[in-house]
Amino acid sequence: MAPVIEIDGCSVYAVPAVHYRAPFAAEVNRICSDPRTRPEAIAVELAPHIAYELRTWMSELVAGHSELPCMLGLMVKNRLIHPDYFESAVNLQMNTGKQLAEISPQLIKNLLHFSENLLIGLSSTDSIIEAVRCSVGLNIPVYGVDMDEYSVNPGRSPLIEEPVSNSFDLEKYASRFEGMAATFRDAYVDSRRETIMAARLKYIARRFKRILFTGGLAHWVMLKKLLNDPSLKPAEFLDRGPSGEMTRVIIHPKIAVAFMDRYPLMSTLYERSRNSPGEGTLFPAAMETPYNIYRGILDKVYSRYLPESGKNKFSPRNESWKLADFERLMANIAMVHPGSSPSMTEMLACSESMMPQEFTRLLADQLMDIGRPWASIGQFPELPVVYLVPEGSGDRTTPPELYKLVSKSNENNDQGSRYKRSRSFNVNYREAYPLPGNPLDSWEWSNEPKEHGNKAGSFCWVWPPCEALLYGTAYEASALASTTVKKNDSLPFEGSLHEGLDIKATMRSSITGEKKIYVKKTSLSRRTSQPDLTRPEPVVFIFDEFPSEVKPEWSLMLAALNFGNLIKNKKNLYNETVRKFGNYFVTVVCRTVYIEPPEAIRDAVDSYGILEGILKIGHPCINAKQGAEWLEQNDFNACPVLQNTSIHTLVDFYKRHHGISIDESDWKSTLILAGIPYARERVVIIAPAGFKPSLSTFSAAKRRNISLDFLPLNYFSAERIAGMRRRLTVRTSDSYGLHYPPEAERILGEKPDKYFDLFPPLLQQEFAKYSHEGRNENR
Amino acid sequence: MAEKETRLTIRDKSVFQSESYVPGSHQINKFIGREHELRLITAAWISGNYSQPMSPLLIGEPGVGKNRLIYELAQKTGRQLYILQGHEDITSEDLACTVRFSDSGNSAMDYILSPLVTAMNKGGICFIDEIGKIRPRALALLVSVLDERRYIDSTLLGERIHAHPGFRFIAATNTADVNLLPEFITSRMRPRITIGFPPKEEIDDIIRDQCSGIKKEVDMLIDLFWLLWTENGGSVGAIAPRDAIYLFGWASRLCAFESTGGMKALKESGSGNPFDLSNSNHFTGIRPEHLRQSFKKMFSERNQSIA
Repeated sequence: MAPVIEIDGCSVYAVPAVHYRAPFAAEVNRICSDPRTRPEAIAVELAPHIAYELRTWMSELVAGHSELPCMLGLMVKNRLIHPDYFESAVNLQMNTGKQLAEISPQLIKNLLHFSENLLIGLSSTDSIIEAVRCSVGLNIPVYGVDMDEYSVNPGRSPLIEEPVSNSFDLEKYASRFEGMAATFRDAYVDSRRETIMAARLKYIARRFKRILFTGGLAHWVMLKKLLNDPSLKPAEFLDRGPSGEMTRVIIHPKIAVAFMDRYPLMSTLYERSRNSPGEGTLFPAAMETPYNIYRGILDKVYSRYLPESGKNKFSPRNESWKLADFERLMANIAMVHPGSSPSMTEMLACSESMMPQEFTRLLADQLMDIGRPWASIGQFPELPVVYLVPEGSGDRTTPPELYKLVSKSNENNDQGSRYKRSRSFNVNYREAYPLPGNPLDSWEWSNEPKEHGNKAGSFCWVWPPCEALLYGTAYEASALASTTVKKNDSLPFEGSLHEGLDIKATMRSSITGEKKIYVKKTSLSRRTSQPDLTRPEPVVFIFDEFPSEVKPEWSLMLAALNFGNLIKNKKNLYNETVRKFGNYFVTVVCRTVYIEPPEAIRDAVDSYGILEGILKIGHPCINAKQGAEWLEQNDFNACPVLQNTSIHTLVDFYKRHHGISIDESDWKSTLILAGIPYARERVVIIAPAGFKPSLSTFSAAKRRNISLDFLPLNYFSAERIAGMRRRLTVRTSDSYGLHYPPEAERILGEKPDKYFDLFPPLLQQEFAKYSHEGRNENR
Repeated sequence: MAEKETRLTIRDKSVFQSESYVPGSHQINKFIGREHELRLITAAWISGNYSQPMSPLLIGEPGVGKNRLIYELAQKTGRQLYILQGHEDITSEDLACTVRFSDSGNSAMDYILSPLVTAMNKGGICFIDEIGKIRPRALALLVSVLDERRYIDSTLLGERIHAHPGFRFIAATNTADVNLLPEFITSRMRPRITIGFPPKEEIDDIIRDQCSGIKKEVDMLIDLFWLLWTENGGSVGAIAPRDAIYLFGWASRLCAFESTGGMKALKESGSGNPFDLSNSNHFTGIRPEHLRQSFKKMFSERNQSIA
């Protein structure tokens, strides 16, 4: 039963609601469907012009769709800073000596909680959206009774019991929790809003006999008081028409979950059990309980996970044991948190902390499966998608929590892109639950508006003699550089204390009755080792630095790109790796200065670079076939795997997956640190005499028990060093890098297999196989 | 009396127990935020007749407040806290029991139970800090503590010690060291809880709590603090509480130095007239220039370490 307030002969049916929770939307629908309670007008906690725009849009949407698409939204311009931050705004201007308009929007968002936009989600399970939808179905007016404009202070939500649909009694629920919810009101802004809402409701009450009002539960205590207060007079308000300050958008699913009930699937279940008011039926059977939905989600994940885990050599018994612990943690979470089942965020947090990544990915997939497609540009080509700019994408200076709009491009832009993207901006919105962060990163939206396919650059390959000279030298250096081996011994004291008393050994001796004093002795020895041809150790070349006015660029080079069809046996593992990390298998990280190629070779080369430093991981990948074979041999884990070739993505990858913090401004340390996780025993560093690596490289190596072995650069002739630094790329006629144009060999004056004799004999045989293959295919 | 409390007899061996850690109220700051983590750890520790408590692993950058979270949990669950500090020289014997030459004439050696075994014996919480710094082979002894056996074998004592039902285990490691933990430990230490940087509001509250003596000026200083932090390349909400407290603490000391007479007083000081090193105006009197100097100092240190 909904609370009813009588005002001047008008019955106001109220649905004080917790936003986005289905039982409140269902209550609105029930009141509108039942002829005994069906209202003549609807009032909602929205500004009049927003209610108008929503009503207009909803009538267009409902006309064409039986279900409300999931999820569309309205982006509304905001101009107000919350009064709590007035003083901070003044301080900010004083401290910076700038006007607010001159300060970066991100700083203003962070320090003053100001966003230039508010986002309203057309969420099926929200009582306000349901009320607007019912007004369309019943063809009755809807009034936005809230203040036209007010500032928002993102506060905390009350931790109150989750409503459960099949045993829901609105009146009881409201009377139980309205007081607690009211304590989270914003005293300054909300009291003004409530006064206006009550005055406007009184005005509407004069014109109709029965109205329905829905708004936040937190306002209900004060609204009741004000509606019953005769001193508060009705306030006439102007119906505002359409406003140009609103944009209709598609909300990206990763943001849309913030506007949804406990599990996103509930949106679809609500749609399917929802009644169309005015069609003579009452609200049908109650929705599935959140607990049953939760169990259903888990059962589906288990049925997908257990067969997959079997394939990945986990013992099913071990997996069952892990699942039991996972279930137990979630059951315990439900005990310390009000609600019958953990929320989506809690489920993902538990999974991330307890289960393998694969399980979390399956869980994220299942949670994001709403049983129908998410609204996309394909469905609404005229609407842009609002999305969260991913951290670490492209420009490192992009701060977190910035949003963009992406829309279909009608023009042919220079990049041949199908989409155009807006500048970054800030958005505020009310969240149902805190959004899950990282665990949703692995989820991919099948209708993500992104570019597909290769760019021409993927047909460019490093000229094989450049690779051969560098890698051949690396093999030679690996055999020459010696490793210092430290050995700790405990010896009976015979006159020298060496590295000091070994207390533990002495005590052991005392306990066993030997009663000798033991001392620690460290001895060093050196050994050299032959490079492993399947997985050679990483090698770093540090050449002489360029003068300060020359600015080298970071460049990441790949074993191959889009080589999935070349994988012979481990296709599943490849797909899994690509899905988890990306499809950029980086085997070379280097610092290069690109210069204009000499006139004589300009026609043959795509780019001409001089190296300042380079890290090579694993084999030279002289073409995609050989690169793919090497990656497959090493289970696709012998090098970093990224989503793009930005140095910032590489830095993020090392931080996230190897726990190594890399500061790319220190390029020498970056090269060494990037090699350490892919070494088994050592990283070989060829550097100018006197080079001293930073402490951070030593400590990262020590933690992993990796030796940093050095060889002076001047061991090699100046001519050879100059050759190693030269980096030419040549455009091949195929994407695999097998066929170089014949004129390249003529113009560059060297055969593609020059310097291959520097490779160990086994590798020479392997590479010869590919050069024959290339020639055969040429014919 | 103290002797009686720390001494224990296992079979016929007299052993000493480790001391529990009780953070003094003056030493630690007010606990702010971290509700999600508190909830997750408490849930992991709930146990009954048919289920054993889990052993969470906290992962986070230095200074984010992992230890502070555990002190709070110990207080909230009413258990004694025993801390074992992880480092590279810890051996598996150290995890269970060590010996020292005895001062008493009755025996040559004293057995000292480790913080882990003391917590197991008394039903307290054992917290291994920096577990990632302990060598894998030293951690092997933990396996039987963390699985359903819940006991530890001490070679030195020649005894098997079973955990009291009230015993709870937790460990923490810095993000950089987490990959060094062996699989046989990580598979038993769950949930793995990542402790991120607290949001801006929590940092603000932590600063307000520290600077309770300057309520009037603190909001202005906080605004300046965030501005300086972002000007130096930091993101709002990406600072460890320890760094924030350090910056304000340094500003407070600069202020104290100034109010004690500054350079002039220091030059005039001598053995007969020593410079006063006590800081009575803790976190008070800070002015914007002190905070600016504090940032300058911190970021010049950081740049030096990069160079």
